[in-house]
Amino acid sequence: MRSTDASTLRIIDLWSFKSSKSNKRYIVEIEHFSNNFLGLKFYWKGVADSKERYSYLTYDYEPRTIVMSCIMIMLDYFKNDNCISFGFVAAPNLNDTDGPNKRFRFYRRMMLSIFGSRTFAQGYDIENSIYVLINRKMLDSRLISLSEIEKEINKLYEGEFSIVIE
Amino acid sequence: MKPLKKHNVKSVNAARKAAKSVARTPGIHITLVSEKERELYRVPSYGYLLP
Repeated sequence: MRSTDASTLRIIDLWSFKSSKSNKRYIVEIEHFSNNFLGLKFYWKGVADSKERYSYLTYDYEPRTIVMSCIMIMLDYFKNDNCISFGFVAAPNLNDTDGPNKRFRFYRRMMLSIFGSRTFAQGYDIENSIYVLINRKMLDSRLISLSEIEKEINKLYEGEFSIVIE
Repeated sequence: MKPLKKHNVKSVNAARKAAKSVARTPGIHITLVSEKERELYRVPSYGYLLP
């Protein structure tokens, strides 16, 4: 059951897909924020209970296939709502050092290769490895702004959404 | 009035270290990808799924 007041609940859609190569099942969490902004996270179901699930490396060497599946999910949301924007964090690997992590660089390459600049304005916060795809229609008509997106993500980091299911 | 001290940045690493040493407003700061960056990082053979 969903509350009508979006600020009181975390609304998360759960998707799942199975890799035909590794036979591993992946979970994709799509969290709904205001201003038609969706946050994406995904992980292998086998490490769903781990706090490091977003940083875990499976060594199956199929990142492009997995990320393309997530992109298909994004396209599904866009098909139903062409005002949607997306954001995600590139989790560091457990032994990553400073600088844009490997996941961040890979996601940036994928997003810039798959989405042109007319549908989404793409941006990032390299310090926090955050990547965003901001709906161009919403941005150009000033229905959404960079500062609003930043504020939304800041809320998440400041723990305003403090309910965490472990 | 005392002039501001400028950072003499000669490399990307030095710039990064300099940025970390300057007090930043806490929080997320989004930088939009430029066309130059887009051409640098994208793989044209993938093909756009959305324009």
